[in-house]
Amino acid sequence: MEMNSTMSLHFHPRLLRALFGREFRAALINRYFQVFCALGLMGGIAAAVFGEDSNATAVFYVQIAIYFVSLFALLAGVGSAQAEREEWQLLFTQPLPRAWCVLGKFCALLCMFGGVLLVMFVPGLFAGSSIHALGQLYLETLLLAAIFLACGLAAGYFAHDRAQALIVGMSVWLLLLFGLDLVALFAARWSAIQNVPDFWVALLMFNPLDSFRINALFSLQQIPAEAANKTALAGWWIAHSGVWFVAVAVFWSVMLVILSGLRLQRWEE
Amino acid sequence: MISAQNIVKSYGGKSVLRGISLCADPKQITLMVGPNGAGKSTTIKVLAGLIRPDSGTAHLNGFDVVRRRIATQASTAYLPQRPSFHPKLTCLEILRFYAGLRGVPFSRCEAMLELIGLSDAARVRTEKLSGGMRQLLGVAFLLLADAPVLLLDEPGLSLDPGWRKWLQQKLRFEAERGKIVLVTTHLIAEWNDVADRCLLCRDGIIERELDPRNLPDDFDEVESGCDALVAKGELSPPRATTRLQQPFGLRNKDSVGDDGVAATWK
Repeated sequence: MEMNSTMSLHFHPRLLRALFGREFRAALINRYFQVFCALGLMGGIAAAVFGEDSNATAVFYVQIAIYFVSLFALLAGVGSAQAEREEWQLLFTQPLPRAWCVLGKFCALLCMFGGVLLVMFVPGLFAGSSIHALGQLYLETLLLAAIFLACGLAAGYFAHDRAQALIVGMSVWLLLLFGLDLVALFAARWSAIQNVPDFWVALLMFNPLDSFRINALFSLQQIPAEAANKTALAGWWIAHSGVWFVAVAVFWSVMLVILSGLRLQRWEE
Repeated sequence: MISAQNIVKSYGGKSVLRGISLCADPKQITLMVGPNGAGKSTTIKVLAGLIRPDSGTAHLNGFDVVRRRIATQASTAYLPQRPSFHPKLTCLEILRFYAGLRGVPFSRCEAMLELIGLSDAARVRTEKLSGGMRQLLGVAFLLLADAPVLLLDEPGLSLDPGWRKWLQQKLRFEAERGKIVLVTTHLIAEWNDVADRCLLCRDGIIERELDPRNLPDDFDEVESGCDALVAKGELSPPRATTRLQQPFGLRNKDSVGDDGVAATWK
C-alpha cells in the first residue's frame, strides 16, 4: 500500500528532525535541565564577579566544568534514556535503526548543552578573559559534557530502572572524580608500582576528568612546567594535552554511544 | 500477507512459542484467541519486530521480519496491550513525533486526535491521561501512519464498551480498504461475528481455526464443555467433533473424561 514511500525512511533527515524536536521539547520541561540552566548562568556570573583576574575566572570555570557540568550531563543522559523506557515497545516498532534513537538523543542533548554552556561562559568575557582562552575552554567543557552525556545515556539504557541507572551513573562519576586518584594514592605505597610511574600516568590520561583537568590547568599555566619532565609519557602528555583530551573525549563518547546502540539493538521485550 | 512458519521462542528454558504457524490475508480481520500465556502476545511481538524468534520464519508482505526488520516495520502499525508514552510530552507532541518518523503530515495528528475524541486533551501531558485515554491515544498512534498491516495486542482492555465497538467497526473499515488486521484477544465473545477468521492459540501453538461467527464466551467453555459432554457419554467422540468444532474448537488430544471414554480427533 505505502510500502515504497515508507521504505525510503531509513536515513532521511526528517528522522533526525523528529528525534531532535522530541528531545528539545522534553528538555524544556525537564527539571534537571532547568536547574542546570539556572545554576550554569549563576556559576558563570559568579566566575566573572569573584574571579580576581582573567586567569582566576578561567580556573573557576574549570572547577565548574569538573564538578558541575559533568554531573549534570550525566544526570541529563540518565533522565533522557529512562524517560522513554516505557515507550520502547512503540518506538522500536518504527522503521528506523534503533541506534539512531541513541545517536539522535546524544546529538540533541549535546546541542542543548552547547547552548547552556555558551550562556555560562559569556559572563567571563566581561571579566576581561580573552575570547580565545574562553572559547577553547568552552569547547573543552563541551567535550567533557559529551563524555558524561554518553555515560548517562549508557547507564540509562543498560539499567533496569531509573534508580539503578542513577546508582550506576553516579558510581562511575565518583570513580572518575575521586576513585581512581584514591586507588593510585594507596597503590603508590608499593615499590613495584612506584617503579612504573608511566602506569599511573596512563591511568590518569585515560580518565576523562583528569585529562580535562591537566589540559585545562596546563593551558592556564597553573602547573609548573617541570612537572612535565618526570617521565617520558608525562612529558609527551603535557606537550600534547589538548589533542590528547580531544582524542580521549571522542573515544569515550563514541564508545559509549556505540555500546548504548548495541544494547538497544539487542533489547527484547 | 502475513505468513509465519514454525516460530519457536523460549525464555530461560521455558518454551513460550512451540512452533506457531499462521497466515493472515489482506481485507480480513484475523483474530488470534487463546487463554493467558498461550503465546498470542509473543507471536504478535515477533511480527512487530520486537522479539527475535529462536527459530522459524515470519514474512510480512514478502519481507522477512528478522532479516528485513525495518522494511517490514515500514508497513506495520502495532498497538501493544498497554501503550505507554513519554510522560512529560503532550498527546499532540507524541503523535507529531511519530508522524515525523513516518513522514506523515502533521495535520493528520490533529485529525487522529479528533477521530478518537481527544482533541480537548491534545495539549495534556500523557502522564495525566487515564488508562482509557491512553489506550485511545494508542489507537490514534496505530492509525496515524495508515500502515497496510495493523497488529493489535489485546486492544480495548481499558476502553468502555462503546469505544470497543467503535474500534471493531474501524478495524472492519480498515480491512475493507485492503489492510491486513491481526488482533489478539482473550475476550473472545466480544469479537463474535466481527472477525473473518479466528485462530485458537494454546500452549505456544495454533491448535485450530474456530468459526468466527459463533465464538464461545470463554476458554473454560471450550475446555470443560467438550470434556463434560464426552465424559458423560452424551456425545460420542465423532459426534462431539462434528458438533463442537463449530462453536468451540478442540485441541488435538487423545482420551478425555474420567470414565475412560477415549477419543482421538483433530
